Amino acid sequence: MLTRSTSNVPINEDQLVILLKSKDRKGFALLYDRYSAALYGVILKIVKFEELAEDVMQDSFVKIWKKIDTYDPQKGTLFTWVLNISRNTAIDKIRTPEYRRRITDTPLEDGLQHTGSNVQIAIDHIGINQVLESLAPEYQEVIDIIYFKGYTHQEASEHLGIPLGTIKTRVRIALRELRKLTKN
Amino acid sequence: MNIREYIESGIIESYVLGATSPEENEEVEKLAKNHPEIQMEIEASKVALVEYIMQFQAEPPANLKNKVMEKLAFLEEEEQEEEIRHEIKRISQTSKGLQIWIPYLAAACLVLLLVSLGFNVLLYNNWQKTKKELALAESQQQILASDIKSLKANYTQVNKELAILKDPYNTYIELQSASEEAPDAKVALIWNKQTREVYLHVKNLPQPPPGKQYQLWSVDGEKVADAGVFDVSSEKILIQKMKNVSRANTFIITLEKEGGVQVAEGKAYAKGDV
Repeated sequence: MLTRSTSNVPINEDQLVILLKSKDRKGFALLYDRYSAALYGVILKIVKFEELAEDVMQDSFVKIWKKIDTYDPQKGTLFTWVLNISRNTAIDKIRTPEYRRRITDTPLEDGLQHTGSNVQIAIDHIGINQVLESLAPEYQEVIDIIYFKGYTHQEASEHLGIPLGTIKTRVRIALRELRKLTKN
Repeated sequence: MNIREYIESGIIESYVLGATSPEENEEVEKLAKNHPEIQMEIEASKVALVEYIMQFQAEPPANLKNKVMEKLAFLEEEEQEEEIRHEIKRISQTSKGLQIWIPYLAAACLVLLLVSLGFNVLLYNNWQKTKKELALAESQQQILASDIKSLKANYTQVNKELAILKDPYNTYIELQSASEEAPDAKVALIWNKQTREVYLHVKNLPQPPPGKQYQLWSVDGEKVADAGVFDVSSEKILIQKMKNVSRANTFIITLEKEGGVQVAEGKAYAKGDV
Protein backbone atom coordinates (compact mmCIF):
# COMPACT_ATOMS: atom_id res chain seq x y z
CA MET A 1 0.00 0.00 0.00
CA LEU A 2 2.79 2.36 0.97
CA THR A 3 5.21 1.05 -1.59
CA ARG A 4 5.48 3.41 -4.47
CA SER A 5 4.84 2.02 -7.91
CA THR A 6 8.24 3.34 -9.05
CA SER A 7 9.98 0.94 -6.70
CA ASN A 8 10.32 -2.29 -8.61
CA VAL A 9 12.94 -3.88 -6.33
CA PRO A 10 11.55 -7.10 -4.89
CA ILE A 11 12.76 -6.59 -1.34
CA ASN A 12 10.54 -6.60 1.73
CA GLU A 13 10.67 -4.19 4.64
CA ASP A 14 12.56 -6.56 6.96
CA GLN A 15 15.31 -6.99 4.39
CA LEU A 16 15.41 -3.26 3.83
CA VAL A 17 15.77 -2.66 7.58
CA ILE A 18 18.70 -5.07 7.69
CA LEU A 19 20.37 -3.21 4.83
CA LEU A 20 19.77 0.13 6.54
CA LYS A 21 21.02 -1.02 9.92
CA SER A 22 24.21 -2.29 8.33
CA LYS A 23 24.58 1.22 6.85
CA ASP A 24 24.54 -0.09 3.33
CA ARG A 25 24.12 2.88 0.99
CA LYS A 26 22.17 0.70 -1.45
CA GLY A 27 19.58 0.30 1.29
CA PHE A 28 19.30 4.04 1.63
CA ALA A 29 18.91 4.39 -2.13
CA LEU A 30 16.06 1.88 -1.94
CA LEU A 31 14.51 3.73 0.98
CA TYR A 32 14.69 6.91 -1.06
CA ASP A 33 13.09 5.27 -4.07
CA ARG A 34 10.26 3.91 -1.97
CA TYR A 35 9.37 6.81 0.25
CA SER A 36 10.87 9.99 -1.16
CA ALA A 37 7.61 11.17 -2.77
CA ALA A 38 5.60 10.61 0.42
CA LEU A 39 8.28 12.21 2.59
CA TYR A 40 8.94 15.08 0.23
CA GLY A 41 5.20 15.78 0.02
CA VAL A 42 4.92 16.02 3.81
CA ILE A 43 8.11 18.10 4.10
CA LEU A 44 6.99 20.46 1.39
CA LYS A 45 3.60 20.81 3.00
CA ILE A 46 5.35 21.82 6.24
CA VAL A 47 8.12 24.12 4.96
CA LYS A 48 6.33 25.29 1.81
CA PHE A 49 9.48 26.28 -0.10
CA GLU A 50 11.05 23.83 -2.55
CA GLU A 51 14.68 24.65 -1.75
CA LEU A 52 13.99 24.37 1.97
CA ALA A 53 12.19 21.09 1.38
CA GLU A 54 15.31 19.82 -0.41
CA ASP A 55 17.47 20.83 2.56
CA VAL A 56 15.08 19.18 5.01
CA MET A 57 14.99 16.04 2.87
CA GLN A 58 18.78 15.81 2.99
CA ASP A 59 18.88 16.55 6.73
CA SER A 60 16.20 13.91 7.28
CA PHE A 61 18.22 11.24 5.49
CA VAL A 62 21.29 12.22 7.50
CA LYS A 63 19.25 11.74 10.68
CA ILE A 64 17.86 8.43 9.42
CA TRP A 65 21.45 7.31 8.75
CA LYS A 66 22.59 8.39 12.19
CA LYS A 67 19.57 7.06 14.12
CA ILE A 68 18.89 3.82 12.25
CA ASP A 69 20.43 1.88 15.15
CA THR A 70 17.60 3.08 17.39
CA TYR A 71 14.82 2.00 15.04
CA ASP A 72 12.74 -0.77 16.60
CA PRO A 73 10.41 -2.58 14.15
CA GLN A 74 8.30 -3.68 17.15
CA LYS A 75 7.26 -0.10 17.77
CA GLY A 76 6.05 0.67 14.30
CA THR A 77 6.63 0.44 10.58
CA LEU A 78 9.77 1.77 8.94
CA PHE A 79 7.66 4.25 7.02
CA THR A 80 6.04 5.80 10.09
CA TRP A 81 9.51 6.02 11.68
CA VAL A 82 11.13 7.83 8.74
CA LEU A 83 7.97 9.91 8.34
CA ASN A 84 8.28 11.03 11.96
CA ILE A 85 11.93 11.98 11.47
CA SER A 86 11.11 13.96 8.31
CA ARG A 87 8.15 15.66 9.96
CA ASN A 88 10.17 16.61 13.04
CA THR A 89 13.07 17.89 10.93
CA ALA A 90 10.68 20.00 8.86
CA ILE A 91 8.92 21.35 11.95
CA ASP A 92 12.29 22.24 13.48
CA LYS A 93 13.03 24.14 10.28
CA ILE A 94 9.87 26.26 10.41
CA ARG A 95 10.58 27.14 14.04
CA THR A 96 13.89 28.82 13.20
CA PRO A 97 13.98 32.67 13.29
CA GLU A 98 15.26 32.65 9.68
CA TYR A 99 12.17 30.81 8.56
CA ARG A 100 9.82 33.12 10.46
CA ARG A 101 11.47 36.16 8.91
CA ARG A 102 11.18 34.61 5.49
CA ILE A 103 7.51 33.73 5.94
CA THR A 104 6.63 37.31 6.86
CA ASP A 105 8.58 38.64 3.87
CA THR A 106 6.99 36.30 1.37
CA PRO A 107 3.29 36.59 0.73
CA LEU A 108 1.76 33.16 0.52
CA GLU A 109 -1.47 32.17 -1.08
CA ASP A 110 -4.21 32.29 1.49
CA GLY A 111 -5.50 28.97 2.56
CA LEU A 112 -2.42 27.02 1.59
CA GLN A 113 -1.31 26.68 5.21
CA HIS A 114 -4.62 25.53 6.52
CA THR A 115 -6.47 23.60 3.93
CA GLY A 116 -3.61 21.51 2.67
CA SER A 117 -4.82 22.04 -0.90
CA ASN A 118 -1.26 21.96 -2.12
CA VAL A 119 -0.56 22.30 -5.82
CA GLN A 120 1.74 19.31 -5.51
CA ILE A 121 -1.02 16.83 -4.80
CA ALA A 122 -0.11 13.53 -6.31
CA ILE A 123 -2.34 12.87 -9.20
CA ASP A 124 -1.79 9.15 -9.26
CA HIS A 125 -3.61 8.67 -5.98
CA ILE A 126 -6.91 9.58 -7.41
CA GLY A 127 -8.96 7.62 -4.93
CA ILE A 128 -7.37 9.38 -1.99
CA ASN A 129 -8.52 12.78 -3.14
CA GLN A 130 -11.93 11.70 -2.13
CA VAL A 131 -10.64 11.52 1.46
CA LEU A 132 -9.44 15.08 1.28
CA GLU A 133 -12.69 16.23 -0.19
CA SER A 134 -14.79 14.27 2.21
CA LEU A 135 -13.08 15.41 5.40
CA ALA A 136 -14.73 18.51 6.78
CA PRO A 137 -12.48 21.62 6.69
CA GLU A 138 -12.50 22.07 10.47
CA TYR A 139 -11.01 18.59 10.84
CA GLN A 140 -8.47 19.15 8.08
CA GLU A 141 -7.57 22.32 9.92
CA VAL A 142 -6.75 20.65 13.26
CA ILE A 143 -4.80 17.87 11.57
CA ASP A 144 -2.81 20.38 9.56
CA ILE A 145 -2.00 22.65 12.45
CA ILE A 146 -1.11 19.83 14.81
CA TYR A 147 0.48 17.35 12.45
CA PHE A 148 2.06 19.61 9.84
CA LYS A 149 2.87 22.60 12.01
CA GLY A 150 3.65 20.70 15.18
CA TYR A 151 1.44 22.83 17.38
CA THR A 152 0.38 21.61 20.78
CA HIS A 153 -3.31 21.57 21.58
CA GLN A 154 -2.83 24.71 23.62
CA GLU A 155 -0.99 26.47 20.78
CA ALA A 156 -3.62 25.33 18.29
CA SER A 157 -6.31 26.65 20.59
CA GLU A 158 -4.63 30.04 20.79
CA HIS A 159 -3.77 30.19 17.10
CA LEU A 160 -7.23 29.28 15.86
CA GLY A 161 -9.11 31.08 18.61
CA ILE A 162 -10.96 27.93 19.53
CA PRO A 163 -11.36 26.60 23.10
CA LEU A 164 -8.91 23.86 24.13
CA GLY A 165 -11.70 21.37 24.75
CA THR A 166 -13.03 21.89 21.26
CA ILE A 167 -9.57 21.31 19.80
CA LYS A 168 -9.30 18.03 21.67
CA THR A 169 -12.71 16.92 20.51
CA ARG A 170 -11.97 17.88 16.92
CA VAL A 171 -8.69 15.97 16.97
CA ARG A 172 -10.49 12.88 18.13
CA ILE A 173 -13.31 13.18 15.62
CA ALA A 174 -10.89 14.06 12.79
CA LEU A 175 -9.06 10.78 13.20
CA ARG A 176 -12.31 8.86 13.56
CA GLU A 177 -13.54 10.44 10.35
CA LEU A 178 -10.32 9.62 8.57
CA ARG A 179 -10.57 6.03 9.69
CA LYS A 180 -14.09 5.81 8.37
CA LEU A 181 -13.16 7.42 5.07
CA THR A 182 -10.10 5.28 4.45
CA LYS A 183 -11.75 2.03 5.41
CA ASN A 184 -12.30 0.04 2.27
CA MET B 1 -7.89 1.93 34.53
CA ASN B 2 -10.85 1.70 32.24
CA ILE B 3 -9.46 0.92 28.80
CA ARG B 4 -12.62 1.98 27.04
CA GLU B 5 -12.50 5.37 28.71
CA TYR B 6 -8.83 5.70 27.93
CA ILE B 7 -9.49 5.01 24.26
CA GLU B 8 -12.40 7.47 24.26
CA SER B 9 -10.29 10.18 25.90
CA GLY B 10 -8.66 11.13 22.60
CA ILE B 11 -5.10 10.71 23.81
CA ILE B 12 -4.45 8.01 21.19
CA GLU B 13 -5.37 10.40 18.38
CA SER B 14 -3.15 13.09 19.86
CA TYR B 15 -0.37 10.52 20.16
CA VAL B 16 -0.69 9.48 16.53
CA LEU B 17 -0.64 13.12 15.46
CA GLY B 18 2.53 13.66 17.47
CA ALA B 19 0.95 16.15 19.85
CA THR B 20 1.67 14.33 23.09
CA SER B 21 4.55 14.93 25.49
CA PRO B 22 7.39 12.41 25.85
CA GLU B 23 5.87 11.26 29.18
CA GLU B 24 2.50 10.73 27.55
CA ASN B 25 4.13 8.87 24.67
CA GLU B 26 5.77 6.52 27.12
CA GLU B 27 2.46 5.92 28.88
CA VAL B 28 0.59 5.21 25.66
CA GLU B 29 3.28 2.83 24.40
CA LYS B 30 3.37 1.00 27.72
CA LEU B 31 -0.41 0.58 27.76
CA ALA B 32 -0.43 -0.50 24.14
CA LYS B 33 1.95 -3.30 25.01
CA ASN B 34 -0.41 -4.64 27.68
CA HIS B 35 -3.73 -3.91 25.98
CA PRO B 36 -4.21 -5.15 22.42
CA GLU B 37 -7.30 -2.94 22.07
CA ILE B 38 -5.16 0.14 22.57
CA GLN B 39 -2.57 -1.20 20.14
CA MET B 40 -5.27 -1.77 17.57
CA GLU B 41 -6.64 1.73 18.02
CA ILE B 42 -3.18 3.17 17.48
CA GLU B 43 -2.57 1.12 14.36
CA ALA B 44 -5.94 2.02 12.86
CA SER B 45 -5.36 5.72 13.52
CA LYS B 46 -1.86 5.57 12.07
CA VAL B 47 -3.07 3.89 8.91
CA ALA B 48 -5.78 6.49 8.51
CA LEU B 49 -3.33 9.34 9.05
CA VAL B 50 -0.86 7.87 6.59
CA GLU B 51 -3.63 7.52 4.04
CA TYR B 52 -4.43 11.15 4.56
CA ILE B 53 -0.82 12.18 4.30
CA MET B 54 -0.34 10.24 1.09
CA GLN B 55 -2.54 12.75 -0.66
CA PHE B 56 0.24 15.25 -0.41
CA GLN B 57 2.83 13.06 -2.10
CA ALA B 58 5.08 15.09 -4.33
CA GLU B 59 7.84 13.94 -6.60
CA PRO B 60 11.06 15.56 -5.41
CA PRO B 61 13.44 17.26 -7.90
CA ALA B 62 15.33 14.67 -9.94
CA ASN B 63 18.81 15.62 -8.63
CA LEU B 64 17.77 15.45 -4.96
CA LYS B 65 18.50 11.75 -4.77
CA ASN B 66 22.10 12.37 -5.84
CA LYS B 67 22.46 15.12 -3.26
CA VAL B 68 21.14 12.83 -0.54
CA MET B 69 23.37 9.94 -1.58
CA GLU B 70 26.43 12.21 -1.75
CA LYS B 71 25.69 13.45 1.73
CA LEU B 72 25.42 9.89 3.01
CA ALA B 73 28.68 8.92 1.27
CA PHE B 74 30.35 11.88 2.95
CA LEU B 75 28.80 10.88 6.27
CA GLU B 76 30.00 7.32 5.87
CA GLU B 77 33.53 8.52 5.20
CA GLU B 78 33.34 10.84 8.18
CA GLU B 79 32.12 8.05 10.43
CA GLN B 80 34.91 5.78 9.27
CA GLU B 81 37.45 8.51 10.02
CA GLU B 82 35.82 9.05 13.39
CA GLU B 83 36.06 5.34 14.05
CA ILE B 84 39.78 5.42 13.22
CA ARG B 85 40.27 8.47 15.43
CA HIS B 86 38.37 6.72 18.18
CA GLU B 87 40.53 3.64 17.77
CA ILE B 88 43.70 5.74 17.91
CA LYS B 89 42.40 7.46 21.04
CA ARG B 90 41.56 4.11 22.59
CA ILE B 91 45.04 2.79 21.84
CA SER B 92 46.70 5.92 23.20
CA GLN B 93 44.53 5.68 26.31
CA THR B 94 45.59 2.10 26.72
CA SER B 95 49.21 3.21 26.63
CA LYS B 96 48.30 5.98 29.08
CA GLY B 97 46.79 3.29 31.25
CA LEU B 98 50.17 1.61 31.24
CA GLN B 99 51.84 4.89 32.17
CA ILE B 100 49.85 4.88 35.42
CA TRP B 101 51.77 1.77 36.42
CA ILE B 102 55.19 3.32 35.87
CA PRO B 103 55.59 4.60 39.47
CA TYR B 104 54.56 1.18 40.79
CA LEU B 105 56.94 -0.54 38.41
CA ALA B 106 59.68 1.87 39.47
CA ALA B 107 58.92 1.13 43.13
CA ALA B 108 58.96 -2.59 42.43
CA CYS B 109 62.28 -2.20 40.60
CA LEU B 110 63.67 -0.25 43.54
CA VAL B 111 62.60 -2.97 45.97
CA LEU B 112 64.17 -5.62 43.75
CA LEU B 113 67.30 -3.51 43.50
CA LEU B 114 67.50 -3.18 47.30
CA VAL B 115 66.93 -6.90 47.77
CA SER B 116 69.61 -7.56 45.19
CA LEU B 117 71.96 -5.14 46.96
CA GLY B 118 71.29 -6.94 50.25
CA PHE B 119 72.18 -10.24 48.64
CA ASN B 120 75.23 -8.65 47.09
CA VAL B 121 76.44 -7.45 50.50
CA LEU B 122 75.75 -10.88 51.97
CA LEU B 123 77.53 -12.63 49.13
CA TYR B 124 80.38 -10.11 49.28
CA ASN B 125 80.82 -10.75 53.01
CA ASN B 126 80.73 -14.49 52.43
CA TRP B 127 83.22 -14.07 49.63
CA GLN B 128 85.53 -11.98 51.81
CA LYS B 129 85.28 -14.54 54.59
CA THR B 130 85.98 -17.35 52.18
CA LYS B 131 88.87 -15.36 50.74
CA LYS B 132 90.35 -14.90 54.23
CA GLU B 133 89.85 -18.55 55.01
CA LEU B 134 91.46 -19.47 51.74
CA ALA B 135 94.42 -17.15 52.42
CA LEU B 136 94.78 -18.70 55.86
CA ALA B 137 94.61 -22.17 54.39
CA GLU B 138 97.10 -21.15 51.74
CA SER B 139 99.52 -19.68 54.31
CA GLN B 140 99.12 -22.79 56.43
CA GLN B 141 99.81 -24.85 53.38
CA GLN B 142 102.87 -22.71 52.68
CA ILE B 143 104.05 -23.26 56.21
CA LEU B 144 103.48 -26.97 55.81
CA ALA B 145 105.21 -26.90 52.45
CA SER B 146 108.20 -25.05 53.88
CA ASP B 147 108.19 -27.43 56.82
CA ILE B 148 108.17 -30.35 54.41
CA LYS B 149 110.89 -28.64 52.41
CA SER B 150 113.09 -28.13 55.45
CA LEU B 151 112.32 -31.64 56.67
CA LYS B 152 113.22 -32.91 53.27
CA ALA B 153 116.42 -30.85 53.35
CA ASN B 154 117.14 -32.21 56.80
CA TYR B 155 116.38 -35.69 55.61
CA THR B 156 118.71 -35.26 52.66
CA GLN B 157 121.37 -33.84 54.94
CA VAL B 158 120.93 -36.68 57.40
CA ASN B 159 120.98 -39.21 54.56
CA LYS B 160 124.11 -37.59 53.23
CA GLU B 161 125.71 -37.60 56.66
CA LEU B 162 124.58 -41.17 57.18
CA ALA B 163 126.16 -42.14 53.86
CA ILE B 164 129.36 -40.46 54.95
CA LEU B 165 129.29 -42.21 58.29
CA LYS B 166 128.60 -45.57 56.70
CA ASP B 167 131.53 -45.36 54.31
CA PRO B 168 133.67 -48.50 54.76
CA TYR B 169 136.91 -46.53 54.35
CA ASN B 170 136.12 -44.45 57.43
CA THR B 171 138.37 -44.31 60.39
CA TYR B 172 136.71 -43.27 63.64
CA ILE B 173 138.73 -41.39 66.16
CA GLU B 174 137.47 -40.12 69.48
CA LEU B 175 139.11 -36.96 70.71
CA GLN B 176 139.21 -36.72 74.47
CA SER B 177 139.74 -33.86 76.85
CA ALA B 178 143.31 -32.50 76.93
CA SER B 179 142.89 -29.67 79.40
CA GLU B 180 141.28 -28.83 82.74
CA GLU B 181 139.19 -26.10 81.08
CA ALA B 182 137.15 -28.79 79.35
CA PRO B 183 137.44 -32.01 81.31
CA ASP B 184 134.39 -33.57 79.60
CA ALA B 185 135.39 -32.59 76.08
CA LYS B 186 134.49 -35.27 73.58
CA VAL B 187 134.57 -34.95 69.82
CA ALA B 188 134.15 -37.77 67.30
CA LEU B 189 136.21 -37.52 64.14
CA ILE B 190 135.56 -39.47 60.94
CA TRP B 191 138.41 -39.63 58.55
CA ASN B 192 137.99 -41.30 55.17
CA LYS B 193 141.40 -42.26 54.20
CA GLN B 194 140.43 -42.88 50.59
CA THR B 195 138.75 -39.53 49.95
CA ARG B 196 140.83 -37.81 52.66
CA GLU B 197 137.68 -36.14 53.87
CA VAL B 198 137.44 -35.29 57.56
CA TYR B 199 134.19 -34.85 59.49
CA LEU B 200 133.65 -33.77 63.06
CA HIS B 201 130.84 -34.60 65.43
CA VAL B 202 131.00 -32.42 68.49
CA LYS B 203 129.70 -34.44 71.40
CA ASN B 204 130.72 -32.09 74.15
CA LEU B 205 132.78 -28.90 74.08
CA PRO B 206 132.23 -25.72 76.04
CA GLN B 207 131.05 -22.67 74.09
CA PRO B 208 134.11 -20.65 73.02
CA PRO B 209 134.25 -17.09 74.43
CA PRO B 210 133.45 -14.23 72.04
CA GLY B 211 136.11 -13.68 69.41
CA LYS B 212 137.41 -17.23 69.76
CA GLN B 213 136.88 -20.36 67.68
CA TYR B 214 137.96 -23.97 67.90
CA GLN B 215 140.49 -25.13 65.30
CA LEU B 216 141.38 -28.72 64.27
CA TRP B 217 144.93 -29.70 63.58
CA SER B 218 146.29 -32.88 62.00
CA VAL B 219 149.61 -34.07 63.28
CA ASP B 220 151.80 -36.30 61.12
CA GLY B 221 154.92 -36.96 63.17
CA GLU B 222 156.50 -33.52 63.54
CA LYS B 223 154.26 -31.91 60.91
CA VAL B 224 151.19 -30.04 62.15
CA ALA B 225 148.62 -28.95 59.54
CA ASP B 226 145.53 -26.78 59.83
CA ALA B 227 142.34 -28.78 59.31
CA GLY B 228 139.90 -25.85 59.62
CA VAL B 229 137.81 -24.06 62.22
CA PHE B 230 134.41 -25.17 63.48
CA ASP B 231 131.50 -24.12 65.68
CA VAL B 232 129.85 -26.00 68.47
CA SER B 233 126.52 -24.21 68.45
CA SER B 234 125.22 -25.71 65.28
CA GLU B 235 122.43 -28.01 66.39
CA LYS B 236 121.10 -29.12 63.09
CA ILE B 237 124.33 -30.27 61.68
CA LEU B 238 125.34 -33.60 63.02
CA ILE B 239 128.71 -33.63 61.39
CA GLN B 240 130.87 -30.77 60.06
CA LYS B 241 133.14 -31.17 57.09
CA MET B 242 136.72 -30.11 57.79
CA LYS B 243 139.72 -29.69 55.50
CA ASN B 244 140.97 -32.83 53.77
CA VAL B 245 143.77 -34.63 55.49
CA SER B 246 145.99 -37.16 53.67
CA ARG B 247 148.30 -38.23 56.40
CA ALA B 248 147.95 -38.02 60.20
CA ASN B 249 148.50 -40.00 63.34
CA THR B 250 146.99 -37.57 65.81
CA PHE B 251 144.23 -34.89 65.70
CA ILE B 252 144.25 -31.96 68.14
CA ILE B 253 141.64 -29.30 68.81
CA THR B 254 142.83 -25.92 70.09
CA LEU B 255 140.99 -22.70 70.94
CA GLU B 256 142.20 -19.93 68.64
CA LYS B 257 141.07 -16.46 67.65
CA GLU B 258 138.08 -16.35 65.34
CA GLY B 259 138.85 -17.36 61.78
CA GLY B 260 141.75 -19.57 62.76
CA VAL B 261 145.53 -19.17 62.70
CA GLN B 262 148.41 -20.57 60.58
CA VAL B 263 150.32 -21.95 63.50
CA ALA B 264 148.60 -23.20 66.64
CA GLU B 265 148.87 -20.74 69.53
CA GLY B 266 146.08 -21.67 71.89
CA LYS B 267 145.65 -24.38 74.38
CA ALA B 268 144.76 -27.90 73.27
CA TYR B 269 141.24 -28.81 74.39
CA ALA B 270 140.90 -32.28 72.94
CA LYS B 271 143.18 -34.84 71.43
CA GLY B 272 142.88 -38.25 69.80
CA ASP B 273 145.21 -40.67 68.09
CA VAL B 274 144.53 -42.48 64.85
